[in-house]
Amino acid sequence: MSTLRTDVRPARSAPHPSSRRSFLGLAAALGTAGLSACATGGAHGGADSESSGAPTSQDNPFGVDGGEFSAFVFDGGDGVKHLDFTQELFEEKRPEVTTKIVRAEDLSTLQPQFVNQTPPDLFQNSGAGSLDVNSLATNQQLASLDDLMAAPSWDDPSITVEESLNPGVREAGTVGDQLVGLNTTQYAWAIWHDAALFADKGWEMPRTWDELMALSATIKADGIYPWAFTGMHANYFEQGVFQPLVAKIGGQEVWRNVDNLEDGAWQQDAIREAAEAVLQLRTDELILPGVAQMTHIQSQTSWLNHEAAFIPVGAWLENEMKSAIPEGFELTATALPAPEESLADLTPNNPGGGWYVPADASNRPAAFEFLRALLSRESAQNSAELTNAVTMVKGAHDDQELSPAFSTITTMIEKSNAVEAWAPVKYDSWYPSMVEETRAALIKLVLGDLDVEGFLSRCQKKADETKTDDAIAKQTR
Amino acid sequence: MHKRGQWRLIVTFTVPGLVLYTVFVLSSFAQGVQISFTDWTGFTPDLNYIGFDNYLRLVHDGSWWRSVLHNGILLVVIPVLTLGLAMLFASLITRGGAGNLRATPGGDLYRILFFFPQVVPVVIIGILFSYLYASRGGLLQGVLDVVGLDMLSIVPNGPLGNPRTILLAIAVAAVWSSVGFYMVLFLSAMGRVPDELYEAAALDGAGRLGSFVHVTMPLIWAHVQTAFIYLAIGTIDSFALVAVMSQTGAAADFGADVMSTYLYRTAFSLNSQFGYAATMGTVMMIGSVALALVTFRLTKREEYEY
Amino acid sequence: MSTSSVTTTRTAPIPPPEPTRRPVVARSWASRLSALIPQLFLLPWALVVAVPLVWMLMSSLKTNVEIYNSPFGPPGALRLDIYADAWNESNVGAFFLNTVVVVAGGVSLTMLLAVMTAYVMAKYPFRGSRVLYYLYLAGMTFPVFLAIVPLVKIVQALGLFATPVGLILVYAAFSLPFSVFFLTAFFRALPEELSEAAFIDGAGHFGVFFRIMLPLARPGLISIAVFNFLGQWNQYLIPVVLNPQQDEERSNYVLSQGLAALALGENYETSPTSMAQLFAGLLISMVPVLLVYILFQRQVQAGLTAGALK
Repeated sequence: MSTLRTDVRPARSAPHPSSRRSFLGLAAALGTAGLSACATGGAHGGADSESSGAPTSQDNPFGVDGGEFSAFVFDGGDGVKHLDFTQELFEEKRPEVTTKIVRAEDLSTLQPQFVNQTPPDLFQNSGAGSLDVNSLATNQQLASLDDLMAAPSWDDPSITVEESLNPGVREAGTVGDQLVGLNTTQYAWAIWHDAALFADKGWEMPRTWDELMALSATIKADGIYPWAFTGMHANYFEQGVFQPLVAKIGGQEVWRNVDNLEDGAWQQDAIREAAEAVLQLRTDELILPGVAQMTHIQSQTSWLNHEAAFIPVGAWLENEMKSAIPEGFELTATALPAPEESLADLTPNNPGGGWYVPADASNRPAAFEFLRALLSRESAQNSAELTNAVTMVKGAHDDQELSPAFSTITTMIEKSNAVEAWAPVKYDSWYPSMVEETRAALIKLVLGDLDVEGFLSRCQKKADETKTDDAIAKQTR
Repeated sequence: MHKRGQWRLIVTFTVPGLVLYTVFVLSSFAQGVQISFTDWTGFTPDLNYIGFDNYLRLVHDGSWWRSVLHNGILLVVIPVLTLGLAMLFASLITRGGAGNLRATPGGDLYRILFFFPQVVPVVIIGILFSYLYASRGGLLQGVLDVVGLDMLSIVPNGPLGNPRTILLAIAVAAVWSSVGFYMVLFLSAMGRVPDELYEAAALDGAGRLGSFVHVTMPLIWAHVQTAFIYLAIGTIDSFALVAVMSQTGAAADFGADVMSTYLYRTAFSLNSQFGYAATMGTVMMIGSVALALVTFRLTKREEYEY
Repeated sequence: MSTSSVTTTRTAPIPPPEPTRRPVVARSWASRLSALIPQLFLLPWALVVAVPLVWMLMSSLKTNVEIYNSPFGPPGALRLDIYADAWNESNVGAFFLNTVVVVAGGVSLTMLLAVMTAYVMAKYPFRGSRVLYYLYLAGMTFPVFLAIVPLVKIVQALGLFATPVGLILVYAAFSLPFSVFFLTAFFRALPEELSEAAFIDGAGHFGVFFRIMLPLARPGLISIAVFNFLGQWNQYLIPVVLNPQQDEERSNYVLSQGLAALALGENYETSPTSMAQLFAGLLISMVPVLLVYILFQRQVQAGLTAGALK
């Protein structure tokens, strides 16, 4: 079950899962990374180096021609069982390939393999010790996935792999101008509440911000704090509340300006208004006291104890808390209420759990073929069954009956996409030193003693520093 | 004197250790210094030398100076509290340091019990104290409940969620874990002070405090000095406790960010700046050596032979 | 120390000549009262130290939900099977054995090399021995963090990555500065007379070392060995870096790694007693360390004094 989480959170766009866990992997990474500072240099296989193999055909689009195929995945504890099925599917079609899937608790052991130019053919970059994909891509150490996207899909040769997926996969996997990552899992943020509690109290999940504030007063009067979230992992409030709120106030291009380090981007009106709105959560005392030093598990347990009514968490909540969910509790995911009702359904949702093929992979055709199998309908449904993860495969989960909580997630994502596609906010992964500053400022705004002006100027100052720092590679979207 | 065969022994005895030490310790540190002059990301096979750029960058790095300041605070708080408590307990157990001659009841038990935190792995100490500080069900809140106080109204956001208190909260955990070790060290030193000196002091009319100040302290000063250097270096190197107790650091506005945690993030989270991180490590090393030298100089007192 | 009456008489200051006789009873009362003062400070700290231990013990019998909702309440049931689960399911048994092997090797090698080096530096000062001494001394002041990056490369190049031998060698190398430093001071303090006599009797340099000096140095050796044992048993950073997971069961892990993995896995695992298994494992891992300390605490204390900087 823990796979869900690993699948669902792209390591780089949600850095904290690695930072939580990384404490384990951290030193490992620290060490292994140093391994081969002086190893022999060599030509990097470029993004489009040709691999010789069997002739390609409609049925064998990459010319898979036997050999060994090795993949490396992060195992959060359940053995990544859903890959067994994909492996069977793959081996049935390509019995001539010897497949080896290494499940590791820590990906950092991969780093020396890159330095030595002997990487596996495929790896999933999530969980502990996940690698800095931006650096790898900049160093030309990752293969372009364009050929994969253009190949016929597993189930229906008349459409391409790309056409068999929901929109957003290409945007999420592109670094610079190159598609290097295949993010197969739908990764969505939600505001969760207990529908049973709400029904019992006669409350209705609000759709607008004003309704939310009105209901919050009612909830507070009832002796429950409206909000809980983890302060220890500041990205929960940032990605689950602040980013969607800004987008709902001023449109998603507000974040594009921030990502592109436009001058004064943090002073945009939408960010100011959102900051004022979240500041009100603090001044009206709508937040469960003590969340600042709560981990995600602690804040979620508080919420399950009905100490708070709402909590911003990703789609993985049900799996993470499985053993602690009280009888009769109805986990329900909805989008964050918006100032304007027309945007009420919009919620951050983008593909995650990125798969990457190293440029030096010795059996690239097999890696591509395995990914093609992974994106088959059957494989997608199997993974949803085992891990409750919504995949990016178009229509794969329409007729799947899973838990009620799972249905609220798929409904939420569907409604959100009906409003508009969510464009992933990139500064989180592009400029980590900036994001650690803006997150700290945001937490200080909501929980500490920072005012809106102070928040905005702190963020802007850091953005300006980032812009003028030549040691930080710049990207735009 | 007995020169014959001496060199055979010197070589046989020192070479194996020196080889091991050079291969694993000295060369590692030397390469760490070497990497600090590059812009290595940790992924590529080649090293690209950039001179002193990383060092210049460090001078202008606000986050670095913030972490240096935090290390500086810890450097004062942890040794003062740890050594102070250790000295207090050691002298209480021995009654002003007078060995076992006038020992306090339960002294043996205290000596074993107080040492106990030393055997708990640091990671676990971090987890343990995070629970102690928790706002619901935490031990601290439990104690405050007895007198009807609310921890969160005294320390908004809790000890680990408040930039003004997080460093102290972590220091407390560090002190808890090491008082016992230093108490044993001081006990051992006090045990070697000859009883006659105390008897003489008593004859001169000195009380317990008097004999502690005039007899015990001067005679065990060298141990205090050793203890301080150990603790100081340990404090500069401290990582696990801070990493576990402050997690990503953002909740308390990096109020406990120290050099080693910043170094770690620089190497892995902040755009893989491995060379830059090695620069921080090199500077930390220079700082440690300098600190040890300064401590020697400042604490140099008249030596007492006994 | 056994009874307060004994203590009272023992704590009485060596009597200075008393000009006036005071009533015996009053003096004993005052003594008794003042005997309590140290306890006023010592007892609270004993509590501060003991409470977390008791808490771990209780937590090792509780479910995750119990730990979270009432961290300081008693367990709902006496779940002793958690210890069996920790040993088997969480693989603490394997971690334990690995640790025993690595620490036994590490401490032995450390002591062997450190004793030889320290002996030479204390008793056979030669041209350059001072340089050597400072070289080791400097090792104590280096932050391990700086070394850890290239260390992996070296260990890999030697083909010792993720092997017990690799860990043993590195443990020993990194324990040398501390051990050499303390043991040198210890050997210096040993009297010359016996070895002089042995030399006169015609003993060689090696003979004097093995037959005279080594037995004399025993208290110091035990104390340093115990400290190396404590340090290596709880060593975390080095194994995490040099001994990464090799299979799904983490069967190559040492205790500190395994326990940290369990502790950090907490964020992900949903077994209802996974926290308790962690604490059970932790307590299991602490038993040998406590035993070693309790058995050798006298020697530890006696040996410690030798190493003060001079």
